[in-house]
Amino acid sequence: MEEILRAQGLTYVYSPGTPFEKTAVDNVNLSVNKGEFLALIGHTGSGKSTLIQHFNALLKPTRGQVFLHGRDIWESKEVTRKARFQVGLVFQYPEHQLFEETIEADVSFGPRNMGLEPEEVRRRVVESLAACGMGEDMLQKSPFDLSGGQKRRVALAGVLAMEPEVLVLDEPAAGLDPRGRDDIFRFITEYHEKHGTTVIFVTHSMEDAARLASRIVVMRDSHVFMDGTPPEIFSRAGELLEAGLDVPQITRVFLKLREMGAPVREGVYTVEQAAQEILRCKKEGISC
Amino acid sequence: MLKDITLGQYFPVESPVHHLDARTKLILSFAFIIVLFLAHGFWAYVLCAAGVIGVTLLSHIRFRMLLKSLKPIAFLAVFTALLNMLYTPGQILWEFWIFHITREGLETAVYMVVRIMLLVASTSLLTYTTSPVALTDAIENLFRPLSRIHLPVHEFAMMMTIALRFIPTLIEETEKIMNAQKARGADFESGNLLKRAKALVPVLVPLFVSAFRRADELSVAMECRLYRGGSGRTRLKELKMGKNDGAAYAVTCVFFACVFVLTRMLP
Repeated sequence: MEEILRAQGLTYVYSPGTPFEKTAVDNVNLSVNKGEFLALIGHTGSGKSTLIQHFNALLKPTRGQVFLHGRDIWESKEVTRKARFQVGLVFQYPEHQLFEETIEADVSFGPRNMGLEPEEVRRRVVESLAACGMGEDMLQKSPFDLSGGQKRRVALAGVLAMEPEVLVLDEPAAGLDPRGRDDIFRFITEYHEKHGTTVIFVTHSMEDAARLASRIVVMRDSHVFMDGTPPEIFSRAGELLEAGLDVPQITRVFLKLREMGAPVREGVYTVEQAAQEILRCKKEGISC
Repeated sequence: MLKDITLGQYFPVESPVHHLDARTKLILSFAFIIVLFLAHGFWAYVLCAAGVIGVTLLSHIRFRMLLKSLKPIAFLAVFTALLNMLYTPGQILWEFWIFHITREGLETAVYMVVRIMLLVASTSLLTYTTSPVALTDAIENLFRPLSRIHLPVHEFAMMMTIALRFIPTLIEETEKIMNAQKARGADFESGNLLKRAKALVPVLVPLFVSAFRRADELSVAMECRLYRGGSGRTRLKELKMGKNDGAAYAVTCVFFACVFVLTRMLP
């Protein structure tokens, strides 16, 4: 697997030297491979949002380095600026940053800043809007006339239009209804599959992480607490619960079953797995 | 960046000065400013400076923070010093072309700079040790007599509280929006003035939209809790004067007396 992004000894301190001093990220080492679909999970204040703002050079580490394609993104001004476009960051509630009069103008903000030709900008705008389920008839509408979910999709398109190699999303589904949630995640996974983009998404929901991610990183108190594939992570469900973090409901059910003495295996985190596991137990003639 | 603005920032630490009634601090700071302008002579200023340093030590505010608050007025101080130095008539010490520096000018310049610095330092101490809400409460309380002549004192105080309350929120919001636009390649740091002003449009539009949204939400929330102005409203935190406040008044009065004596005796 080819490494695309790496954080090494990353530490970030807010307001150093004042009573408000706070170490938000403490000596974090993390390596992300090309094409991964990574979920970053943790409590509010565990340092997730601070961490991801280092990936596109919005925050300069107090200590440590961030490498993109093996190059330190703070090496020179050009590299830093390039990192901004190579790593697309979608903030929480991105609809709050819409500002142009038309959707087309807003989505084209990123590509225009990249200095692309007008035809290329136009192609990207249309394509990225389509990737977020919006047709060309929307181009001339005002982004302020849209519904909340639609605004979010326009904002997402605004980042996709830069065609980043790594897409970083901070709670992309926060505040959306279940349908808006499913939509957003569908667009993101489809985009990931089509372009092979590396995706890192911050979430509070273990269900979403279990359902979508190929790898889960759990943060706790400014540190990386766990890092692994979903089966690896959820086989340590007990530890997660102890740390005050959530696990998918079905994992919780199976944890309880094990406690009650049923010989089901660890690390069950989808309903399908659960069904198979129960069938297996039945076949082997053990009652649950 | 934006968060580095320190003027008017509250520093929540435990100290006797923090625990004083906001009205006490407001009155004493105001009195101190008047005394500063009445004081005269080397020793009087030394005493005033010692007073500010003493309160700083007592309030557990770091001197670095105090110096930081003086930074924005550095230019003003230098400018005042220069003007005083060059335009005060008197015994000439040094001359060049149309410029002459006089002994009296030099003296006034030093006094003026010290005066400005102490002025800013003392008001900064007030805002460092008093939360904005407590401060507006104190102002409302002290100006209450004016409501007799139908001045909307409570409404003004409420407006001030809300404005102060939302400064950090809006700063945070601005930073968030700036970051979001930076993530899309916006560049706020290069180019000429016009280009930079233009670069702010993607920040200002969302900022205004959100400020109006917040104002709207806040007004609805206030109406939902039946807010209808100041009359008949009670407080969760009543302003209360304690023993410490009495002590503060006493100490400060003695201090002011000393400053006056020094001004008279050792001008």
